Amino acid sequence: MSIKVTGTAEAWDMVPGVVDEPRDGRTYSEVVLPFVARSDNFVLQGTKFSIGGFELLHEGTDVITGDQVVLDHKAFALNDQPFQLRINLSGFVLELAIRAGFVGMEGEGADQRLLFAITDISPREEQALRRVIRAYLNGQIANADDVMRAMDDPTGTGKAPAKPAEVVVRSNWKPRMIAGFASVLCALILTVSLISIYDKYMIIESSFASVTAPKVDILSPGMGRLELAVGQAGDTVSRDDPLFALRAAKIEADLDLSRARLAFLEASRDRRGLIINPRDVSALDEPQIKAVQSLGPDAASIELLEDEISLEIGRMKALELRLAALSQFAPCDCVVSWVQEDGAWLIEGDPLMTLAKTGPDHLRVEALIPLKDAKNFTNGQSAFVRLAGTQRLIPATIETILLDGQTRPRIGFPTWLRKDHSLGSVTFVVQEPLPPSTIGVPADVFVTDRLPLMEKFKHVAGY
Amino acid sequence: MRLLIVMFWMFAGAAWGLTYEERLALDLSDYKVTDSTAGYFDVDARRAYLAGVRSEMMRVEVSHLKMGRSCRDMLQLPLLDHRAVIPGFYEDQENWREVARPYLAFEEAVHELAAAQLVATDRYHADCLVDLLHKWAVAEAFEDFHYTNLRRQAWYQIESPIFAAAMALSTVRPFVTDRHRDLDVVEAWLKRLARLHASYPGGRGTCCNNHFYRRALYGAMVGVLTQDNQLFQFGVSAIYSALAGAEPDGALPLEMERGELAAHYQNYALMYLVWIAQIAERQGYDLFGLNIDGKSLHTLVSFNMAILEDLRVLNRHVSTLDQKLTYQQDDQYFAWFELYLSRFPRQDMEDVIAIRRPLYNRSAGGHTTLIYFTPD
Repeated sequence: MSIKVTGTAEAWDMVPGVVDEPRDGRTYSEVVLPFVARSDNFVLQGTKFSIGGFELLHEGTDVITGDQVVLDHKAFALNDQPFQLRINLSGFVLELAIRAGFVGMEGEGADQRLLFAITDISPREEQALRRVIRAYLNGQIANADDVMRAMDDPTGTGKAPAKPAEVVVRSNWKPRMIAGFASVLCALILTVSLISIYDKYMIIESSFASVTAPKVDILSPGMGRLELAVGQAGDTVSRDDPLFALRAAKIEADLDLSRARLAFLEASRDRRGLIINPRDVSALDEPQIKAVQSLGPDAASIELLEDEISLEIGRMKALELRLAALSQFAPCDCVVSWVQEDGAWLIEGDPLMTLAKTGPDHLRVEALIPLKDAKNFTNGQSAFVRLAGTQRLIPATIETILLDGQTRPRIGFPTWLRKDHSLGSVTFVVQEPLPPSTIGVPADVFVTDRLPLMEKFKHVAGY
Repeated sequence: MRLLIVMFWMFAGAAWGLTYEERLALDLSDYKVTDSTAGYFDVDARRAYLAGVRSEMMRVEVSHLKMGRSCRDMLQLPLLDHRAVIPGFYEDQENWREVARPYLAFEEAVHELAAAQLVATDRYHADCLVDLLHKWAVAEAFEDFHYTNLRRQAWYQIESPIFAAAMALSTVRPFVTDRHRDLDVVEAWLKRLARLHASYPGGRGTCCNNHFYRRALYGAMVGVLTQDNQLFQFGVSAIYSALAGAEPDGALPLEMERGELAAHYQNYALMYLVWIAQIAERQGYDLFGLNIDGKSLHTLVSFNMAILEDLRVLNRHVSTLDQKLTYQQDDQYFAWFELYLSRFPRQDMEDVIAIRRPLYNRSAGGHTTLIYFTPD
């Protein structure tokens, strides 16, 4: 159990499957984030949760009647029951289907809270919950990227976040190996030979690498209610497929108003035009003739009306542009890696959707390296990568080196690592196609060193 | 003959550059379109460079553009096929901003498609641009605009969509040569539009100032695309006019007349003049090297850089040094520096844009850092 429980030991024993977990810093840590829990009968506001349980306010809503209800232990069977937890995170809502058992109450009066222990949770959902907690302990609200990726962040424990391990430079050659050569000529020949071999064996190993894909973050182009044309994260879309539309009542109303104004202006022009051309008056009935006569025959005003009409059409076009911008189509054959909830109310600039290009040509292995080591890398340098869970080394070459990894619009890497300004980003083109399922999979990267000749000489010579 | 005419108005003491009539009398018949596919840069060479570029900033730019845009987004832009009436930029800026938005959106769209095509491995964006322009050509977009001596904003507004469309088309045309029927429709529209628009002489200022240079820019680009020598020569005439009228220090008198906006408009005028020179250069004519009475485009550029360094250089030309400098906050005003620097290195110019890259101008030149900057 990972939340504080003030119930009795008997209460614990009464919940099948609940065991006392060691209270290490990771499982005990409580997270205070907005969430609601829905059981078969009630919806309750949550106050905090951990990997093993959660705490709810005792006032909630009856899902059948919609009435506000105040609950105590009698409302919950002693056996565990299904809950749906909906946790509001950064730009999305995480839904977890779990089973939990009531274990006690805490607080008094209006502040009373109901305590539950999680008794059944799928490994995948437990993993997601654990990542939310890890991100929280690192001082961040998890986003979809954090929850979905295949590699965990180091857990914060109130101390500074763990730094990635230094990139290690290893050499099988020692400087003293060249010390035995007497003549300068021999030393030179040997040094050249050493440099050649050094090229093959000098490796740079990075523990912080994974498979990434180019992504595009789509922000809300305006204010409105979201109508999604795509399903959920993981769905694929083809180029030109509709992605979403925002319903913006204000723009639609402005457009209707503009159309009405245009119709009025055109009618006014037409009526005045009839006065100018008396032969057309014969086509009018008596009330119409009176109406247009009241406007007066004014050729100049007709010209002004023409200008007003053109201006109004211009305004209408501007509104149509605003409206058109509120619906967008897929720019690529992509995978939806994250998407807002359908029906969400968005304002301009809100995160709306993230698309990733997952074709074999687009996936890369990306490694974060300390900036001080960036000088050891050059484009085209050869390397090997080994994906987690495999033993096979796959040839690769360095494609790009960026000193600021944040500028790289790619998905599959922990967001918090990208924010570390002491790390640069190196991407590798792998010599064989990577399937989309590998996005986010950690990798080991071994890079053949390509130091400048003099630098190599210094390394080999030991100074 | 051409030189004789130039000398004529030089000695006549043209204070602002050539008058409209003097321009018409100018014999520029030696300037002929020699290569209608030359565009404003070497597309193949630039694609090859970008494919292997190592610069971090450039690779990020390429990566962003490679994500592309859906053509359906572009095709749903509202068609501007109505009679255009637009509130004055200085008289009613709020309404201008609203009504002008679709014009600016069109310019952005065509250059975005051209830039995406420049880095793409397929021809999707080139086809999309042709689809878009064909749709607008069939609808005779921009061809009906309000023009009176008192209200010319619609006329001004249509200058930039024409050269934006022509420059973008010049970039993607090599990818879609098989669509000659559609291209014929688009090019006929651009030519018709350019000739119609250029047939209005403008007023005392706009006949011959930055607005003229903007019209000359579409003249040069559409002239090349459609092998219309007269339009091309109309474009070239702007360089003659500007150099003839320039002060010895490079100040453009019609732009200096703008008082507190003199600094702004000296730069603004060059934003278009350098592109005309570049387009002509691609046809084999060295307008950057053209020198009239000791003044060349470099003289005008140097004066612009001097203004950026110290406003007091304007002392001789304007009554106030209390200049409106908001243009300096908008990087688009400096996108043309990339073109100039790619041919004529200047440290002071490089210093201005080094921290502003990647540069982009919505209508004149598009993604200029992508097209001209060579950091490797």
